[in-house]
Amino acid sequence: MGRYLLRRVLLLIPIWLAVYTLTFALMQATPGGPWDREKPVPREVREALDRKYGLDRPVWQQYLDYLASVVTRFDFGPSYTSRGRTVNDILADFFPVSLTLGLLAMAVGTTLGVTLGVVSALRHNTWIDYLAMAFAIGGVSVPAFVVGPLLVIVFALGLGWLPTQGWGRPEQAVLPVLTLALLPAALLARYTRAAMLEVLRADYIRTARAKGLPGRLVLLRHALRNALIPVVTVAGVLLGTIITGSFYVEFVFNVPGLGRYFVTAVTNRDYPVLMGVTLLFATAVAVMNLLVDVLYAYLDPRIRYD
Amino acid sequence: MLALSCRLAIGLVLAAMVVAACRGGPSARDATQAPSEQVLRVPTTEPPTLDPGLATDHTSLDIIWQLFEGLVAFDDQGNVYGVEAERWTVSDDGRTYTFQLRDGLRWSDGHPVTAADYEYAWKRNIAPATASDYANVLYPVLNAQRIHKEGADPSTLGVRAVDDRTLVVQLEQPAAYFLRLAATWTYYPLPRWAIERHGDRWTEAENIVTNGPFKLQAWRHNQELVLVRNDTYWGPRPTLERAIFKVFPEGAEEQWVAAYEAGELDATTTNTPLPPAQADRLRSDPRYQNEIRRFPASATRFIVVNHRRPYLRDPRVRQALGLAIDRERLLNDVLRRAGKPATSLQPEGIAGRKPDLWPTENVQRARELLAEAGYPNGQGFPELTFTYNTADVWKTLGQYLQQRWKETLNINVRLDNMEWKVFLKWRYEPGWTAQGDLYRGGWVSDFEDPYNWYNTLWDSAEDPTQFNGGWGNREYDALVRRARAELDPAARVALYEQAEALLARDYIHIPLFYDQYEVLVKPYVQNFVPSRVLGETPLTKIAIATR
Repeated sequence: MGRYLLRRVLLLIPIWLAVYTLTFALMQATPGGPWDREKPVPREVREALDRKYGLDRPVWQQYLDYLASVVTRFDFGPSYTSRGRTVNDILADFFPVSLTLGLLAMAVGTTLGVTLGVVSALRHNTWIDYLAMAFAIGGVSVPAFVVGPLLVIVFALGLGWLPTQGWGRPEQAVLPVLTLALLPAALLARYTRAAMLEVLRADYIRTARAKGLPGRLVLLRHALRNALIPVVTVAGVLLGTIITGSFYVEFVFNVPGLGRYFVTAVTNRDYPVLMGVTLLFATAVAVMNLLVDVLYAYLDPRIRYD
Repeated sequence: MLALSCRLAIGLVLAAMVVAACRGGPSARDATQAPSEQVLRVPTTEPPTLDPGLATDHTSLDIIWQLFEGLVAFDDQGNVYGVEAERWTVSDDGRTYTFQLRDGLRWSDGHPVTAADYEYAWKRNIAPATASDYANVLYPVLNAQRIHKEGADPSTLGVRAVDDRTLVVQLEQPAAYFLRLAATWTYYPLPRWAIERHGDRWTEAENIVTNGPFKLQAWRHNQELVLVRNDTYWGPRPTLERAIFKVFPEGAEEQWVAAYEAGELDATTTNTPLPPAQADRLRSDPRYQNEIRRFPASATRFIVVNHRRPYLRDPRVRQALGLAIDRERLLNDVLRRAGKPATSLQPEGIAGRKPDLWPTENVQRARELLAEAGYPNGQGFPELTFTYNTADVWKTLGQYLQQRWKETLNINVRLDNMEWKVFLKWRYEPGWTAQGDLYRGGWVSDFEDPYNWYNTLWDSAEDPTQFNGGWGNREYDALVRRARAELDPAARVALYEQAEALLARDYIHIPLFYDQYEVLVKPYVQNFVPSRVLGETPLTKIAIATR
């Protein structure tokens, strides 16, 4: 297990380098630069800005310098748009927000999804099952950009129970978390249901019942634990995408996460911010996948990494 | 069964919406209730900087104007008045300005504001190492260009603090618009000690030192900026105690309209127009009749014409294109946007403008002009390309022009759109100069002086770095360059009026509309009148009618 982990962690380095190189190449290839403004910036000013931020150096040198500053000092450079702020400030301020939102949504989504999945498997082909699956289909089909504004219309503008936007107070988190939790809840409900139905028909469940074990014990220790293995795979991958892909929900509910930088860093050609956010999100997804693989070994004794 | 469940779910959602609509919602009621404190909550986007020496955009400036101030300012009638300068004198040759500062000026940390703070700020902003986008507004000051372009020592800049309250400024050559420039943010004083101590981070709430009527209490990035009344301020005390600028992501206009309706905001911002669909709804809703308001802006939208194209070189063709447009319909029915139809390029408030000299809309006349130019009923006229940056409003404009010019002049138009930064760069590339015909343009006054239009935009020496339309006229250039240095106000306006006549005769670009700011303001917010230039939120004048 130790060696496997080490290998996986070392594997992050080439992944990371590839993401860096690709992002750098794309930024170089994109026309328009950070100093192209609606009111044209005089040539002298552009040159001064280029000098200040090192954009007057050859491209290969920019590539190496930035890499060196990230690797040796963990310094992602200054933001071109927010003058006086560094990319490190931006990542440190806003990644925790995206992470909190993502984890909360995943917690709500997993609880809801697994519960619905188990219940509908146990009440197979009853109205409860149908209702739960209708929810699941709805959750998968209706995108966040429909659900989010709908929730605002109903609960904030209509009933006035919750604020329309913002972050920091618990009531401000309710709508964004619900919106973001919908997709994982729906997906996990379907996966859990399918897995549970399969497991419940397995021989070892019949054996457990035949031994006279109480129903709840059979369900929790024997059925659910085995049914969760495929669910964990999905949940792990989902967690990565929920944390990194929440930018639409952050936008609708004005949550000050990192997501908005995905868009603004590109439109502003804020190269260091774009690079910092991309590398961070790439790392987050890679680490999440690694965690899932480790979790497998714990859940399924048949899986061993040697 | 499944279908039934689905219907049930949809029904539930619809029911909730109907309930919500019928009840009007408690929040809607709360929203009209006056607050009990002198606090104003308005939306904004994250300001790129609060450093007056570096700021270039509306968002930053709207905050900076509340926090800092300079020597002089101008009212909407164009009259100058002293702010930190009590009085000033101009030498007979127009090249030396001597400003006398008021007594008892203080920074928010208690330091006195001195002439040296101005001297420091100007020298710092012109230094190439500072890399200020607006450094070129300092160019009229002696040696500024040599410092900025040729690397001369910044200490040679023609500004000197003779004593704590006397600032002497030497100009390169007489510049009649110098006070207008001196009123802009690049000329504000700066707290040297704070900048030297904290470097780039001196604008964070815990470090910043300011001299305006408000000070920065908190700046929670991407969340809010909290401004409070500055008790060390020399001038009249604002009624407002606190202003909260809630930060929204860029493009989140729908969200701040919702927040306004839910009572989370007291007014919206002039930085971005209301989204057209929302604006339509609000304009027609009787509940919002007193809350949706329009104010003039010193800005014009127009179509830039490429004068290098042989078929666009004839002024009759340009006039035909301009005269065929129905601007009233364009604004109200097509773009659904606040504005005033424009027949001339310079907006209200710019001395020298003479809209009457410009031809007015007339489809019949447009057809005649096109025929006179050799293209009767558009025959033989090549297909035109109209280019815009990717955005709904400009796409709609393009589609309107396409349809309108086809119907009225039988001219075919091809639409081409580009991402914002690509578009900005393209304007200086062969893609425009050699192949482009028309693109969407516009200009917002930095300061309300004819210089900012006639000289900055249409002088043929400036054109290649501005709209790059390729129009040039020696007579015009000579007129506006004389006006630049003319110290007699009446003679100066007369020169600009002559220049205006040349612009009108040549119909150099196609005017569309003058901008207006359309904002939502709660009934209890008094005196919310944004400035015509750049739409400043006038915090010093606003008062809340409290319960």
